[in-house]
Amino acid sequence: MADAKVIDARGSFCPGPLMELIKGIRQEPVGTVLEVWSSDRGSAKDIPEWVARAGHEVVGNVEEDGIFKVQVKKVK
Amino acid sequence: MGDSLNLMLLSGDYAKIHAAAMVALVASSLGQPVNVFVSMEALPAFHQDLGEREAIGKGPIGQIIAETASPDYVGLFSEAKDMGDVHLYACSLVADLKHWELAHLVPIFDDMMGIAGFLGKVSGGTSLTF
Repeated sequence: MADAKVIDARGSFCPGPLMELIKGIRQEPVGTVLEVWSSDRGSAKDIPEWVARAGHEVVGNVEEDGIFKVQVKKVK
Repeated sequence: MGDSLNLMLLSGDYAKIHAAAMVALVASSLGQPVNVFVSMEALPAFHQDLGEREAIGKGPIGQIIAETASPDYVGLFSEAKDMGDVHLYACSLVADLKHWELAHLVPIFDDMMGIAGFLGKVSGGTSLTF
């Protein structure tokens, strides 16, 4: 996993983690990598779907001790 | 995305209204225009008065969502509007029956109109009913 700006959305339910990512990605320049931390299993699948549709790139997606960490690179 | 997403909120079921708000938010975030017509049992869910809002029905899942989800459906619709091309319209029939003006509703509506007016605005795209 690359160095990334962490969005800690643990404890938030769907679509909370995705919302946090959407808000965060709009504020960052192209090339930024954001890492969303979520305790919500659905978000680990939802976020990559949104990222693909929005034209960004998932560069990492792991589970560590029940926390799903999805890294997203802003590409446009 | 070019075609609009048109949502008809008719049910007074909390979970359905919350689901519609999530759909609007995600579609908006992806650049899809969203039009929402709020009518029948759903309109009281958007009254300024908390007592009116809390009278809407909650099934077992709706109850959990109401207790745990933040933001609630009003907040989700507000976020969707901030994010993209999202318009909400309140049904004038229900408003007339309840003697409500637009000012009685939470400030997320663009206008109040009848179904003909709404259908005139959304001549294309995908329509979903909640």
